[in-house]
Amino acid sequence: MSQSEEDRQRFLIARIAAGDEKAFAALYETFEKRLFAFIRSKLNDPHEAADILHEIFMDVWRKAGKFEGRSKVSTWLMSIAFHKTVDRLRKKKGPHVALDDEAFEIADEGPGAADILQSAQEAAHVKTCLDKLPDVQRLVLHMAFFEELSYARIGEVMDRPEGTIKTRVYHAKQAMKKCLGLLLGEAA
Amino acid sequence: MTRNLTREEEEWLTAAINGTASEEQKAAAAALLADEETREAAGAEEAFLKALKSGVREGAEDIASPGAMGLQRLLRDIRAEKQNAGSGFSFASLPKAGRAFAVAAALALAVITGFTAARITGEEGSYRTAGLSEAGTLQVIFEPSAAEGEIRALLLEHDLEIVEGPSALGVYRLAQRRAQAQGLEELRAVLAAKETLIQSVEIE
Repeated sequence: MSQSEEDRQRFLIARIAAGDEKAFAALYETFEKRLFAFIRSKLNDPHEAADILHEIFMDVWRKAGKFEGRSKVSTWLMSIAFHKTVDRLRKKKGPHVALDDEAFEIADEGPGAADILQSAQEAAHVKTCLDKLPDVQRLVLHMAFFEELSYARIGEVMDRPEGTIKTRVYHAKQAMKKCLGLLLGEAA
Repeated sequence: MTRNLTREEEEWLTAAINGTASEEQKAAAAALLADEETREAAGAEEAFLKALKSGVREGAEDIASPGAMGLQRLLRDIRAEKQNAGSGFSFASLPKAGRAFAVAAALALAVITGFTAARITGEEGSYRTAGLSEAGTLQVIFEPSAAEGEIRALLLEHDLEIVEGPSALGVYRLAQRRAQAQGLEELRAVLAAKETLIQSVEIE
Protein backbone atom coordinates (compact mmCIF):
# COMPACT_ATOMS: atom_id res chain seq x y z
CA MET A 1 0.00 0.00 0.00
CA SER A 2 1.29 3.47 -0.87
CA GLN A 3 2.07 6.11 1.74
CA SER A 4 -0.63 8.34 0.27
CA GLU A 5 -3.23 5.62 0.84
CA GLU A 6 -2.10 5.21 4.45
CA ASP A 7 -2.25 9.01 4.84
CA ARG A 8 -5.78 9.01 3.39
CA GLN A 9 -6.86 6.35 5.88
CA ARG A 10 -5.34 8.28 8.79
CA PHE A 11 -7.12 11.41 7.61
CA LEU A 12 -10.41 9.47 7.52
CA ILE A 13 -9.85 8.29 11.10
CA ALA A 14 -9.22 11.88 12.20
CA ARG A 15 -12.43 13.01 10.47
CA ILE A 16 -14.40 10.15 12.04
CA ALA A 17 -13.11 11.23 15.45
CA ALA A 18 -14.67 14.62 14.66
CA GLY A 19 -18.01 12.95 13.88
CA ASP A 20 -17.83 12.97 10.07
CA GLU A 21 -20.24 10.34 8.70
CA LYS A 22 -18.93 10.65 5.12
CA ALA A 23 -15.43 9.78 6.30
CA PHE A 24 -16.92 6.85 8.21
CA ALA A 25 -18.67 5.62 5.05
CA ALA A 26 -15.42 5.97 3.07
CA LEU A 27 -13.45 3.95 5.62
CA TYR A 28 -16.22 1.33 5.67
CA GLU A 29 -16.08 1.02 1.90
CA THR A 30 -12.29 0.68 2.01
CA PHE A 31 -12.18 -2.12 4.58
CA GLU A 32 -15.58 -3.77 4.77
CA LYS A 33 -14.90 -6.63 2.34
CA ARG A 34 -11.43 -7.36 3.71
CA LEU A 35 -12.58 -7.42 7.29
CA PHE A 36 -15.62 -9.52 6.49
CA ALA A 37 -13.47 -12.08 4.66
CA PHE A 38 -11.12 -12.06 7.64
CA ILE A 39 -13.97 -12.78 10.08
CA ARG A 40 -15.47 -15.42 7.79
CA SER A 41 -12.12 -17.22 7.68
CA LYS A 42 -12.93 -18.19 11.26
CA LEU A 43 -16.72 -18.09 11.43
CA ASN A 44 -18.93 -19.96 9.04
CA ASP A 45 -22.15 -18.17 9.97
CA PRO A 46 -22.54 -15.09 7.71
CA HIS A 47 -25.08 -13.48 10.07
CA GLU A 48 -22.74 -13.77 13.00
CA ALA A 49 -19.89 -12.46 10.89
CA ALA A 50 -22.07 -9.48 9.86
CA ASP A 51 -22.79 -8.77 13.53
CA ILE A 52 -19.08 -8.74 14.34
CA LEU A 53 -18.37 -6.47 11.38
CA HIS A 54 -21.05 -4.13 12.73
CA GLU A 55 -19.45 -4.18 16.19
CA ILE A 56 -16.02 -3.42 14.71
CA PHE A 57 -17.23 -0.33 12.88
CA MET A 58 -19.27 0.85 15.87
CA ASP A 59 -16.00 0.62 17.84
CA VAL A 60 -14.25 2.60 15.12
CA TRP A 61 -16.91 5.29 15.36
CA ARG A 62 -16.63 5.44 19.15
CA LYS A 63 -12.86 5.05 19.48
CA ALA A 64 -11.41 6.82 16.43
CA GLY A 65 -10.22 9.61 18.71
CA LYS A 66 -8.09 7.13 20.61
CA PHE A 67 -6.21 5.90 17.53
CA GLU A 68 -2.64 6.99 18.20
CA GLY A 69 -1.21 6.17 14.80
CA ARG A 70 1.47 3.85 16.17
CA SER A 71 0.33 1.10 13.79
CA LYS A 72 -1.15 1.19 10.32
CA VAL A 73 -4.90 1.79 10.16
CA SER A 74 -5.41 -1.64 8.59
CA THR A 75 -3.45 -3.29 11.41
CA TRP A 76 -5.54 -1.48 14.00
CA LEU A 77 -8.78 -2.57 12.32
CA MET A 78 -7.67 -6.17 11.91
CA SER A 79 -6.57 -6.28 15.49
CA ILE A 80 -10.07 -5.21 16.61
CA ALA A 81 -11.54 -7.79 14.23
CA PHE A 82 -9.25 -10.51 15.52
CA HIS A 83 -10.06 -9.96 19.19
CA LYS A 84 -13.80 -9.64 18.61
CA THR A 85 -13.83 -12.82 16.56
CA VAL A 86 -11.87 -14.75 19.17
CA ASP A 87 -14.21 -13.43 21.89
CA ARG A 88 -17.19 -14.67 19.88
CA LEU A 89 -15.58 -18.06 19.36
CA ARG A 90 -14.89 -18.33 23.08
CA LYS A 91 -18.53 -17.56 23.83
CA LYS A 92 -19.61 -20.27 21.40
CA LYS A 93 -16.99 -22.90 22.06
CA GLY A 94 -15.93 -22.05 25.59
CA PRO A 95 -12.68 -20.66 26.97
CA HIS A 96 -10.65 -23.52 25.50
CA VAL A 97 -10.35 -21.73 22.13
CA ALA A 98 -6.58 -21.73 21.92
CA LEU A 99 -4.38 -18.85 20.89
CA ASP A 100 -1.08 -20.48 21.66
CA ASP A 101 0.67 -23.09 19.64
CA GLU A 102 1.26 -25.43 22.53
CA ALA A 103 -2.40 -26.36 22.33
CA PHE A 104 -2.20 -27.43 18.70
CA GLU A 105 -1.41 -30.82 17.49
CA ILE A 106 1.85 -30.69 15.57
CA ALA A 107 1.81 -32.77 12.44
CA ASP A 108 4.01 -35.83 12.67
CA GLU A 109 6.00 -37.31 9.81
CA GLY A 110 3.76 -36.63 6.85
CA PRO A 111 3.37 -37.80 3.27
CA GLY A 112 5.97 -37.19 0.57
CA ALA A 113 6.36 -33.91 -1.29
CA ALA A 114 5.11 -35.36 -4.57
CA ASP A 115 1.86 -36.59 -2.97
CA ILE A 116 1.30 -33.25 -1.26
CA LEU A 117 1.83 -31.38 -4.50
CA GLN A 118 -0.48 -33.63 -6.45
CA SER A 119 -3.20 -33.17 -3.84
CA ALA A 120 -2.61 -29.41 -3.58
CA GLN A 121 -3.38 -29.01 -7.28
CA GLU A 122 -6.99 -30.01 -6.46
CA ALA A 123 -8.67 -26.79 -5.29
CA ALA A 124 -11.33 -28.81 -3.46
CA HIS A 125 -8.63 -30.60 -1.45
CA VAL A 126 -7.07 -27.31 -0.42
CA LYS A 127 -10.46 -25.93 0.62
CA THR A 128 -11.35 -29.06 2.59
CA CYS A 129 -8.05 -28.95 4.44
CA LEU A 130 -8.31 -25.21 5.17
CA ASP A 131 -11.75 -25.82 6.67
CA LYS A 132 -10.33 -28.53 8.92
CA LEU A 133 -7.57 -26.37 10.36
CA PRO A 134 -7.85 -25.07 13.92
CA ASP A 135 -9.27 -21.53 13.97
CA VAL A 136 -6.04 -19.71 14.66
CA GLN A 137 -4.04 -21.63 12.07
CA ARG A 138 -6.66 -20.83 9.42
CA LEU A 139 -6.50 -17.20 10.45
CA VAL A 140 -2.72 -16.85 10.18
CA LEU A 141 -2.81 -18.42 6.72
CA HIS A 142 -5.53 -15.95 5.75
CA MET A 143 -3.41 -13.05 6.97
CA ALA A 144 -0.26 -14.37 5.30
CA PHE A 145 -1.72 -15.31 1.92
CA PHE A 146 -4.88 -13.21 1.49
CA GLU A 147 -3.93 -10.05 3.33
CA GLU A 148 -0.29 -10.62 2.38
CA LEU A 149 0.91 -9.40 5.76
CA SER A 150 4.45 -9.92 6.98
CA TYR A 151 5.08 -12.00 10.09
CA ALA A 152 5.76 -8.80 12.02
CA ARG A 153 2.40 -7.26 11.10
CA ILE A 154 0.50 -10.47 11.82
CA GLY A 155 2.19 -10.32 15.23
CA GLU A 156 0.87 -6.78 15.74
CA VAL A 157 -2.67 -7.86 14.85
CA MET A 158 -2.59 -10.87 17.16
CA ASP A 159 -0.55 -9.18 19.85
CA ARG A 160 2.09 -11.92 19.72
CA PRO A 161 5.86 -11.87 19.06
CA GLU A 162 7.02 -12.36 15.48
CA GLY A 163 8.70 -15.64 16.44
CA THR A 164 5.37 -17.04 17.63
CA ILE A 165 3.77 -16.12 14.31
CA LYS A 166 6.55 -17.87 12.38
CA THR A 167 5.96 -21.01 14.42
CA ARG A 168 2.23 -20.72 13.89
CA VAL A 169 2.53 -20.39 10.11
CA TYR A 170 4.95 -23.30 10.07
CA HIS A 171 2.53 -25.51 12.03
CA ALA A 172 -0.37 -24.44 9.82
CA LYS A 173 1.59 -25.43 6.71
CA GLN A 174 2.56 -28.76 8.24
CA ALA A 175 -1.07 -29.46 9.12
CA MET A 176 -2.11 -28.60 5.57
CA LYS A 177 0.52 -30.91 4.12
CA LYS A 178 -0.56 -33.76 6.33
CA CYS A 179 -4.23 -33.24 5.46
CA LEU A 180 -3.53 -32.97 1.72
CA GLY A 181 -1.55 -36.20 1.82
CA LEU A 182 -4.37 -37.98 3.63
CA LEU A 183 -6.96 -36.73 1.16
CA LEU A 184 -4.91 -38.02 -1.75
CA GLY A 185 -4.73 -41.38 -0.01
CA GLU A 186 -8.51 -41.44 0.40
CA ALA A 187 -9.06 -40.51 -3.25
CA ALA A 188 -6.72 -43.23 -4.50
CA MET B 1 23.10 -34.84 -3.23
CA THR B 2 19.80 -33.21 -2.28
CA ARG B 3 18.48 -32.15 1.11
CA ASN B 4 15.32 -30.89 2.79
CA LEU B 5 14.82 -27.22 3.61
CA THR B 6 15.29 -25.77 7.06
CA ARG B 7 12.43 -23.86 8.70
CA GLU B 8 14.19 -20.58 8.05
CA GLU B 9 14.59 -21.42 4.38
CA GLU B 10 10.88 -22.26 4.18
CA GLU B 11 10.14 -18.85 5.75
CA TRP B 12 12.11 -17.12 2.98
CA LEU B 13 10.02 -18.88 0.37
CA THR B 14 6.79 -18.05 2.20
CA ALA B 15 7.76 -14.37 2.35
CA ALA B 16 8.67 -14.46 -1.34
CA ILE B 17 5.27 -15.94 -2.27
CA ASN B 18 3.19 -13.53 -0.16
CA GLY B 19 5.17 -10.53 -1.35
CA THR B 20 6.62 -9.45 1.99
CA ALA B 21 10.21 -10.65 1.49
CA SER B 22 13.09 -8.25 1.92
CA GLU B 23 15.66 -7.99 -0.87
CA GLU B 24 17.93 -10.35 1.10
CA GLN B 25 15.16 -12.91 1.54
CA LYS B 26 14.26 -12.71 -2.15
CA ALA B 27 17.86 -13.39 -3.09
CA ALA B 28 18.08 -16.26 -0.61
CA ALA B 29 14.84 -17.79 -1.96
CA ALA B 30 16.11 -17.50 -5.53
CA ALA B 31 19.37 -19.19 -4.52
CA LEU B 32 17.44 -22.10 -2.95
CA LEU B 33 15.56 -22.60 -6.21
CA ALA B 34 18.78 -22.53 -8.22
CA ASP B 35 21.05 -24.59 -5.98
CA GLU B 36 21.33 -28.21 -7.04
CA GLU B 37 21.22 -29.35 -3.43
CA THR B 38 17.95 -27.60 -2.57
CA ARG B 39 16.31 -27.13 -5.99
CA GLU B 40 13.94 -30.08 -5.70
CA ALA B 41 12.72 -29.35 -2.17
CA ALA B 42 12.48 -25.60 -2.80
CA GLY B 43 10.55 -26.15 -6.04
CA ALA B 44 8.07 -28.44 -4.26
CA GLU B 45 7.66 -25.98 -1.39
CA GLU B 46 7.15 -23.08 -3.80
CA ALA B 47 4.47 -25.01 -5.73
CA PHE B 48 2.76 -25.99 -2.47
CA LEU B 49 2.76 -22.37 -1.25
CA LYS B 50 1.32 -21.13 -4.55
CA ALA B 51 -1.48 -23.70 -4.36
CA LEU B 52 -2.12 -22.75 -0.73
CA LYS B 53 -2.23 -19.04 -1.57
CA SER B 54 -4.59 -19.69 -4.44
CA GLY B 55 -6.87 -21.80 -2.18
CA VAL B 56 -6.96 -19.16 0.58
CA ARG B 57 -7.67 -16.37 -1.88
CA GLU B 58 -10.32 -18.30 -3.78
CA GLY B 59 -12.29 -19.02 -0.62
CA ALA B 60 -12.04 -15.45 0.67
CA GLU B 61 -12.88 -13.69 -2.59
CA ASP B 62 -16.09 -15.68 -3.05
CA ILE B 63 -17.61 -14.32 0.15
CA ALA B 64 -20.54 -11.90 -0.19
CA SER B 65 -20.22 -9.14 2.41
CA PRO B 66 -23.02 -7.00 3.94
CA GLY B 67 -22.04 -4.06 1.69
CA ALA B 68 -24.35 -1.06 1.54
CA MET B 69 -26.92 -2.67 3.83
CA GLY B 70 -24.31 -3.00 6.54
CA LEU B 71 -23.38 0.66 6.15
CA GLN B 72 -27.02 1.75 6.39
CA ARG B 73 -27.42 -0.22 9.59
CA LEU B 74 -24.27 1.40 11.02
CA LEU B 75 -25.32 4.92 10.10
CA ARG B 76 -28.73 4.34 11.64
CA ASP B 77 -27.13 3.14 14.88
CA ILE B 78 -24.57 5.92 15.13
CA ARG B 79 -27.29 8.52 14.52
CA ALA B 80 -29.35 6.90 17.27
CA GLU B 81 -26.30 7.08 19.54
CA LYS B 82 -25.79 10.74 18.71
CA GLN B 83 -29.45 11.39 19.45
CA ASN B 84 -29.22 9.57 22.75
CA ALA B 85 -26.03 11.41 23.66
CA GLY B 86 -27.71 14.70 22.79
CA SER B 87 -30.70 13.97 25.00
CA GLY B 88 -28.50 12.58 27.74
CA PHE B 89 -30.69 9.49 27.68
CA SER B 90 -29.65 5.90 27.12
CA PHE B 91 -32.26 3.17 27.06
CA ALA B 92 -29.64 0.51 27.71
CA SER B 93 -28.42 2.31 30.81
CA LEU B 94 -31.81 2.13 32.49
CA PRO B 95 -32.48 -0.58 35.07
CA LYS B 96 -34.99 -3.19 33.96
CA ALA B 97 -37.90 -1.58 35.83
CA GLY B 98 -36.94 1.77 34.32
CA ARG B 99 -36.88 0.24 30.86
CA ALA B 100 -40.36 -1.18 31.31
CA PHE B 101 -41.58 2.26 32.34
CA ALA B 102 -39.82 3.85 29.36
CA VAL B 103 -41.39 1.32 27.01
CA ALA B 104 -44.84 1.92 28.48
CA ALA B 105 -44.34 5.69 28.24
CA ALA B 106 -43.16 5.40 24.65
CA LEU B 107 -46.14 3.26 23.71
CA ALA B 108 -48.58 5.61 25.44
CA LEU B 109 -47.00 8.57 23.68
CA ALA B 110 -47.11 6.78 20.35
CA VAL B 111 -50.82 5.95 20.80
CA ILE B 112 -51.68 9.54 21.76
CA THR B 113 -49.60 10.90 18.88
CA GLY B 114 -51.26 8.47 16.49
CA PHE B 115 -54.76 9.50 17.55
CA THR B 116 -53.89 13.19 17.38
CA ALA B 117 -52.31 12.84 13.95
CA ALA B 118 -55.30 10.89 12.66
CA ARG B 119 -57.68 13.55 13.93
CA ILE B 120 -55.66 16.38 12.43
CA THR B 121 -55.01 14.82 9.05
CA GLY B 122 -57.97 12.56 8.76
CA GLU B 123 -55.63 9.89 7.47
CA GLU B 124 -54.36 6.67 8.86
CA GLY B 125 -50.79 5.51 8.41
CA SER B 126 -50.13 8.08 5.70
CA TYR B 127 -46.37 7.37 5.57
CA ARG B 128 -46.74 3.67 4.90
CA THR B 129 -44.85 2.20 2.00
CA ALA B 130 -47.04 1.50 -1.02
CA GLY B 131 -48.13 -2.11 -1.15
CA LEU B 132 -48.03 -2.66 2.60
CA SER B 133 -51.04 -4.11 4.28
CA GLU B 134 -53.60 -1.69 5.67
CA ALA B 135 -54.22 -4.05 8.56
CA GLY B 136 -52.21 -1.87 10.97
CA THR B 137 -48.75 -1.81 12.43
CA LEU B 138 -46.97 -3.28 15.39
CA GLN B 139 -44.65 -1.50 17.77
CA VAL B 140 -41.80 -3.77 18.67
CA ILE B 141 -38.74 -3.57 20.89
CA PHE B 142 -36.17 -6.25 20.21
CA GLU B 143 -34.00 -7.77 22.91
CA PRO B 144 -30.58 -6.09 22.91
CA SER B 145 -29.00 -9.54 22.49
CA ALA B 146 -31.00 -10.33 19.31
CA ALA B 147 -28.67 -10.72 16.33
CA GLU B 148 -29.37 -9.03 13.01
CA GLY B 149 -29.68 -12.40 11.30
CA GLU B 150 -32.30 -13.59 13.76
CA ILE B 151 -34.33 -10.41 13.32
CA ARG B 152 -34.10 -10.64 9.55
CA ALA B 153 -35.25 -14.27 9.62
CA LEU B 154 -38.20 -13.34 11.83
CA LEU B 155 -39.27 -10.51 9.50
CA LEU B 156 -39.05 -12.78 6.47
CA GLU B 157 -40.93 -15.58 8.20
CA HIS B 158 -43.90 -13.31 8.93
CA ASP B 159 -43.59 -11.16 5.80
CA LEU B 160 -43.00 -8.07 7.89
CA GLU B 161 -41.21 -4.86 7.01
CA ILE B 162 -39.72 -2.15 9.21
CA VAL B 163 -41.60 1.04 8.33
CA GLU B 164 -40.00 3.20 11.01
CA GLY B 165 -37.33 3.03 13.66
CA PRO B 166 -35.47 2.43 15.70
CA SER B 167 -36.51 5.42 17.78
CA ALA B 168 -34.24 6.72 20.52
CA LEU B 169 -35.98 4.25 22.80
CA GLY B 170 -35.33 1.37 20.41
CA VAL B 171 -38.94 1.12 19.21
CA TYR B 172 -39.55 -0.21 15.68
CA ARG B 173 -42.80 -0.02 13.74
CA LEU B 174 -43.46 -3.12 11.67
CA ALA B 175 -46.13 -3.66 9.02
CA GLN B 176 -47.21 -6.75 7.12
CA ARG B 177 -46.23 -6.50 3.47
CA ARG B 178 -49.58 -7.95 2.37
CA ALA B 179 -52.86 -8.72 4.10
CA GLN B 180 -52.42 -12.09 5.79
CA ALA B 181 -54.88 -14.76 6.81
CA GLN B 182 -53.23 -14.45 10.18
CA GLY B 183 -54.83 -11.53 12.05
CA LEU B 184 -52.77 -8.83 13.67
CA GLU B 185 -53.68 -9.96 17.17
CA GLU B 186 -52.67 -13.51 16.35
CA LEU B 187 -49.40 -12.24 14.90
CA ARG B 188 -48.79 -10.13 18.00
CA ALA B 189 -49.22 -13.23 20.17
CA VAL B 190 -46.82 -15.23 17.99
CA LEU B 191 -44.19 -12.50 18.20
CA ALA B 192 -44.72 -11.99 21.92
CA ALA B 193 -43.88 -15.65 22.42
CA LYS B 194 -40.43 -15.10 20.89
CA GLU B 195 -39.06 -14.06 24.24
CA THR B 196 -35.41 -14.41 23.32
CA LEU B 197 -35.80 -11.96 20.44
CA ILE B 198 -38.60 -9.61 21.39
CA GLN B 199 -38.88 -7.59 24.56
CA SER B 200 -42.22 -5.99 23.81
CA VAL B 201 -44.81 -6.03 21.02
CA GLU B 202 -48.03 -4.04 20.81
CA ILE B 203 -50.61 -3.39 18.12
CA GLU B 204 -50.61 0.25 17.19
